[in-house]
Amino acid sequence: MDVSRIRALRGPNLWSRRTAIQAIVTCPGDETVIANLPGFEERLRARFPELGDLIPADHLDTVSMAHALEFAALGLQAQAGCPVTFSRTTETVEPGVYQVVVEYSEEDVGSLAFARAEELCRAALADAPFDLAGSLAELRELDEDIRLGPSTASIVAAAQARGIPIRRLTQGSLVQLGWGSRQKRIQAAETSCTSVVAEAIAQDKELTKQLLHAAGVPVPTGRPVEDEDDAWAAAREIDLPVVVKPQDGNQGKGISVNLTSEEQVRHAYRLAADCRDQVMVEKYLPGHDYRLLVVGDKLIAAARRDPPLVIGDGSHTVSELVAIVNSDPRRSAGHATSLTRIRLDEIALARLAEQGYSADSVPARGVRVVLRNNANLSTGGSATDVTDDVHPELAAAAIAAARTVGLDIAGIDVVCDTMLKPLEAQGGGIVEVNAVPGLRMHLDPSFGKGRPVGEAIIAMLYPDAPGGKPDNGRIPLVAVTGTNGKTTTSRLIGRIFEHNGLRVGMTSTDGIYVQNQRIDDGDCSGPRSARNVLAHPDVDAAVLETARGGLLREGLGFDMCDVAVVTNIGLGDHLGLSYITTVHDLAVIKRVIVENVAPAGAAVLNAADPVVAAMARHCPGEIIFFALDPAHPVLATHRAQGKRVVYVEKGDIVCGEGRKKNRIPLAHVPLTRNGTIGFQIENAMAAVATAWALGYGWASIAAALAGFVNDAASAPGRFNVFDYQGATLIADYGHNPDAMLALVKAVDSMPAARRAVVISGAGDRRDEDIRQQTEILGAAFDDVILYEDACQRGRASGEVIALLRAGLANSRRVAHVAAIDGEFAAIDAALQRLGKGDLCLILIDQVEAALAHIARRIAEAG
Amino acid sequence: MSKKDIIFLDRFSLRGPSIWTYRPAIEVWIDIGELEDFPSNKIPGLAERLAAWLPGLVEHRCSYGERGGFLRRLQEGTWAGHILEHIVLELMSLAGLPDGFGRTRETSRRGVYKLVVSNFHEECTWLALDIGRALLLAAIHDEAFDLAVAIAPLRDKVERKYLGPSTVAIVQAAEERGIPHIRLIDGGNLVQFGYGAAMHRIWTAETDRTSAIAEGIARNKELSKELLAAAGVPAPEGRAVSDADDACAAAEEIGYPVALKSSNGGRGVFIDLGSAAEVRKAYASASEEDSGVLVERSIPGSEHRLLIVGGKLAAASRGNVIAACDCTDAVHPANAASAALAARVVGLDIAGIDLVCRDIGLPLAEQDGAVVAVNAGPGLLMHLKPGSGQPRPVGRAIVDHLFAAGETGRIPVVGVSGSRGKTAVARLVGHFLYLVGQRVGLACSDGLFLERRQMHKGDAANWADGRRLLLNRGVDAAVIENGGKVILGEGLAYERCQVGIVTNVLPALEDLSRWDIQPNDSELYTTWRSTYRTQVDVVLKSGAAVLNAADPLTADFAELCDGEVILFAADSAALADWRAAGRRCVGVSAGRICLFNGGNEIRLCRLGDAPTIGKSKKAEDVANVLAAAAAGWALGLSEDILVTGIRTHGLDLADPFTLLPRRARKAAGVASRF
Repeated sequence: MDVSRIRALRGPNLWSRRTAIQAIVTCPGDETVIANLPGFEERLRARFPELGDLIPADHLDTVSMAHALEFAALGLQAQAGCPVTFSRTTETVEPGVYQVVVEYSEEDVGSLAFARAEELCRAALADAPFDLAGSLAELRELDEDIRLGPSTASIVAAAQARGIPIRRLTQGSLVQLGWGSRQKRIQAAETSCTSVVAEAIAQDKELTKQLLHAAGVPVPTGRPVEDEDDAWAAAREIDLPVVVKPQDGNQGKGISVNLTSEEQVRHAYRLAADCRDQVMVEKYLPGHDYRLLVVGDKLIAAARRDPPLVIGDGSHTVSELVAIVNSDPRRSAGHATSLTRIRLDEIALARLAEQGYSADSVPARGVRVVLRNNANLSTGGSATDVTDDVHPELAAAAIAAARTVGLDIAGIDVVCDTMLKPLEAQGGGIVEVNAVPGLRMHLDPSFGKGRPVGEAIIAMLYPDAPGGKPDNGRIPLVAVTGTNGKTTTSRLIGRIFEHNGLRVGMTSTDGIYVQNQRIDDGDCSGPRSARNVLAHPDVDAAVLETARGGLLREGLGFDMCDVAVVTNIGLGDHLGLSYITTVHDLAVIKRVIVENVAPAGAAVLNAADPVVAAMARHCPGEIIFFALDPAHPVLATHRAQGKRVVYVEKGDIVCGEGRKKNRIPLAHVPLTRNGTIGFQIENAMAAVATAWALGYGWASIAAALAGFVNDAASAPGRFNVFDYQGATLIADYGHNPDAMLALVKAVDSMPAARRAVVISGAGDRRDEDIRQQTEILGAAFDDVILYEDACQRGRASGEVIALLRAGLANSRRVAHVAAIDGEFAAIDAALQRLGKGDLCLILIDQVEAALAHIARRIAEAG
Repeated sequence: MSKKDIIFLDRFSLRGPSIWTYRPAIEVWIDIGELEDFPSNKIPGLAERLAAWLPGLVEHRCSYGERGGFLRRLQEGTWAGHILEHIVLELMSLAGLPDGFGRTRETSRRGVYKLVVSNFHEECTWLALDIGRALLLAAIHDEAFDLAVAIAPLRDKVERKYLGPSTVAIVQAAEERGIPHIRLIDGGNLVQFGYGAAMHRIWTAETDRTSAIAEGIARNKELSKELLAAAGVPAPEGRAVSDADDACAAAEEIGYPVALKSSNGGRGVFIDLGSAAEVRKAYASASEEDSGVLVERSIPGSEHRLLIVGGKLAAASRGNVIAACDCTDAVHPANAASAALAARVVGLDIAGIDLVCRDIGLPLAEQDGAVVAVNAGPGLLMHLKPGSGQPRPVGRAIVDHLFAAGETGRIPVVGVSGSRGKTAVARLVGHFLYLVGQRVGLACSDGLFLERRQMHKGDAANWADGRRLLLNRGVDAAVIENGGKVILGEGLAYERCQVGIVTNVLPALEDLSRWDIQPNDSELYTTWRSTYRTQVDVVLKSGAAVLNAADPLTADFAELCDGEVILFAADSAALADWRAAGRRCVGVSAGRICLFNGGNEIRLCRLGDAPTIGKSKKAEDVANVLAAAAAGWALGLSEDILVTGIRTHGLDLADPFTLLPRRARKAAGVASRF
């Protein structure tokens, strides 16, 4: 077995909407059927007894080693506690070569599980040992390490339930919510609105108290002290009992409470002074410790926090009782579960000594033995939800405290007897305001109800729009794919967004554009570029050209789109790469964007292309068909059903829905040259349909189309028309049979004395595709100039030219064929032969250089 | 007193506007004893010694309003208190504090003076007073005095306790815009601008809008670079490395020269490393810090710092902090846009963008330049005091970022002063504001109130309780009572107010002898007039003073007010001139409380309708209602609110809100309960 090309599919993909590890697995000979490997399955099960039944998804398949690997990788993750269920193995066109896809919840865990599964299969094959327990522990540990902590996870879950897109920005807990200009960030219980100044104020307990006092919130009186003597002096000023604590402390370190004697105060001072510089002495407020969670201007949860304690049973020692309490599965060493284990450490022993116990004492039945003064969960305390008890005035005080400090999310520490009365009525007070409070005690309290804290935080970050429409942080997202016309259609859609006042982010095969500025170049039609646009703070709407390369490699860069546009598939392009061998394969991959249309969204599909039209049934949203011909059966049927269609009638683009019609005259769409260039009309129709789906006004759509120019400067290589000494030059980047057909059609409608074409072939196409290009051109041109482009991708010199010549073999029209070395020389050769009234189509390869060359020649000609 | 001495008898910290100045000040009562008989011209060599020890005194323009004025006065003869005042001001200025205010006034006791100096920081001022006294005595007695040694502790204290220079620049910019500020912590740069609900807070160059998450991202160099690159901001390519070998491998991938730095933005930044050996050496030092290490392409050119405030370029300088050279005007717009985008991507409202390139006047893309770091809480000093080039008003940029044009950070503040009736007036004004639906804070002798809630039962007519209201984010409007004792002993809690009310000034009924108050005609002393005019002096230009026309001492204040003056009196005759002049006043006509606006007369209600006036119709009760109505009118409250307020104040009602006339409720958006 050979495992290669392991990839992470990080978004919706060919196989599913879920994230998955994908690999190519080659199984030699017998490994294609494991039933032929004596004892293999037994050995495999001996090493991993929890392995599920080996039943392939395509039930007629025989079980291969690749399938064993698939189920092992899924099973290992499941056993390690990851919520994964999806896996798939399919045989490719090459016998013994499989694509294996296994879902993951954390990429690193998925990769590791895949590697361990491979080891497991090899071990079973070779009858070698495999450390299952070790592998599972390793996976579990890795998962705990990198998956989101409970606080962040609760917010993320709430966001997802709201349909807010999320993206983790780091291995830590930093998460982006929403897209583009509507994005926000969270990090545990901190949001992008959490002020750094407010956090600094919360850190300064003395200042916090002063501000709370100013706001009329009850706080314990007290002051910072200089030394031990001053601590005792302060204690007498304030009146015993007092609390001594470090000013900037957290997690309850160095805090001593209910101090009633000079000796206790002095000892507590020394303890606190060990932790930090400044020590505070303040009034001890008797009562329980409560934690109130304020989100925005609402009280969301309240919990009573009890210190770690054991209850005597008259037979066990304190340390045994602690062990019994710690055996509760809800208690773990860290923060992952609702409780943390009680530690019988120095502090606990000292607290025991105060009560006259040691670790070996046997407290009488029913005696409560407190092991620590502070009630933090992290030191073994417990939390009891008391949200429903909170008196409205007490809640108001907590909200005032958070507002005073300036925190959008705050944990308010309150000491008082009961939540049922206002603080003033019981001598209670707010002792601390915490930024970035832990949410665990509210999400999953030790006793009582869990509270929807994540939902509250999301509701604060994304308040409902005035109309009551829930906000999901999304920006309009249009995904565009197809064989030809993607870029022009994308740019048209972008222009319509701009006319509606939106700042547009666009990805395409020649770069990423934000507000028409190129921020990245090269082929940017993959998920990475999509994510970059969706993370850009200045993007109000996104138009993402989505090519199949990135889709195959990594999946989509977004979870859903509002509109998916498929311009055409036609005869296909780049067939033969990555196991995409037929137009049908290509359609399956390209329709992924259609499959991932939002339920309230739409797919804009070319009705005239049967492969595209067939995607309609895979769309969860609405369908808008477009086609030049109103009588096209697919379109006509759709229209008859009262659904939305776009077509051409009497020189107008018509948008029809039932009996309603809206017309945009082609004469007002300069891109189409008065309706003479068929493929540009199709592009315009696709853009119009998209804008219609998104609900933009007709005036803005018409204005955008009217103002759209398509010259060499704004749309290089997209049907750029020039005049050269009375002859018409057309430069285009078209490189596949469908583009040739469309170009031929468009050029045919332009009058010309003689027609010439300059063409090269890309080496990565299949032979038949290269040949087909000249077969198409041969019917429409008199002169053909062939050249070899820069990148022959492994083909021998002259090979492509030979194929192009072969395509011309049966042409009756072509009178002159020449093969020229180099693109510029070829262009020059064509120009030399041109006379007034002739037409020359130049299929350029190096777009910018070739256009510059043409511009130079035109300038020289005057 | 056998020897010539100066004794500090008593001292007050005036923490707000006082009879002396709008700014906080320290008032010290000093006894100069026999020095009363020895003005400076009678002590040989005193003027020369002082001029020699404190050469800066020549700049003091006192007495003659010109340079050298004070020195001339020294030569001609002035008394020890006045000299000490100037010495203390000079010492504070030498120690790094701003130029301050000083005043010395006689008291009715011979040789005893009130000396007042600006108070920038309490401990610093006390210390300056002690040092100044020692210096003056040494000069008087012709003893040696080592100024350098004496002033060192003051310098040190100023350094530690006074606001940092960046914060001072922001505070000054706020003052220029008329935005009040309150320093929140001793020895730190946490400052509140504005009052109550309109406030913003800053901590040096961080604001209450600076996101803590963004600050964390800025600190994580690797993450911030990744985010910048994704948004198309040119950032140096490179990656985190795990050890020295990996660092060299990364350097090979990127191509020499490379830069190496710690990923949490620590100090260890090594640039222009040309070989593996240099990379290893740099790695060894950088990895000592407890963080990851990044290896990046070395960007050719010099380091620039672009300060982005609220999405706009506020300043730019080239070179390091020590030798920064302002280049704000040279920055190419594309580079300014890149820097602003970098701040936005990280999520900071104020950011210092470190950018390396050859020429800041050309777009980065044309010269291989890059943004190498985004810093939260950037230093401002290099822009305020660049080594060369033009200083930039970055303090102003930050203030403008927090407060849009026209915003002053103020909430309506009503100050109530006078000898009698303050509390009654304050409570009625508070009641009006409550009826409007404002979260009103009231500090008066009856206690401290937030809306209906009494937060504090004792006397709250003092500086501290007034200040509590202004510190409270939940206060939309504040009514603060200031007795004569507060004005004289503590200062006002607010720096300016919307409405200042003086109910009356009644020397016969009030004992302020503790402050040595003298009758009004004695110009050199503290007088009744100078005390109570303080309340009128602090009225904003856009505000109004409400003065009692029936009390001649009070009515006299009208000329002092920067804003409008609204008079009130039950006796129409007292208002006649004011009405004739077409100005606003409040009085009684045909048994009704009326608002007079020139010829217009707006009747509110009968005197008897006001529970606080009742049947007895005592003159002072009537006056109090008139004063409050005038204040309410000055605040722009509607007649309905005033009528309802007058009718319901003093009634023990469950919710007086329900008594609002129907149309007022409608205006306030409140559903009818009837």
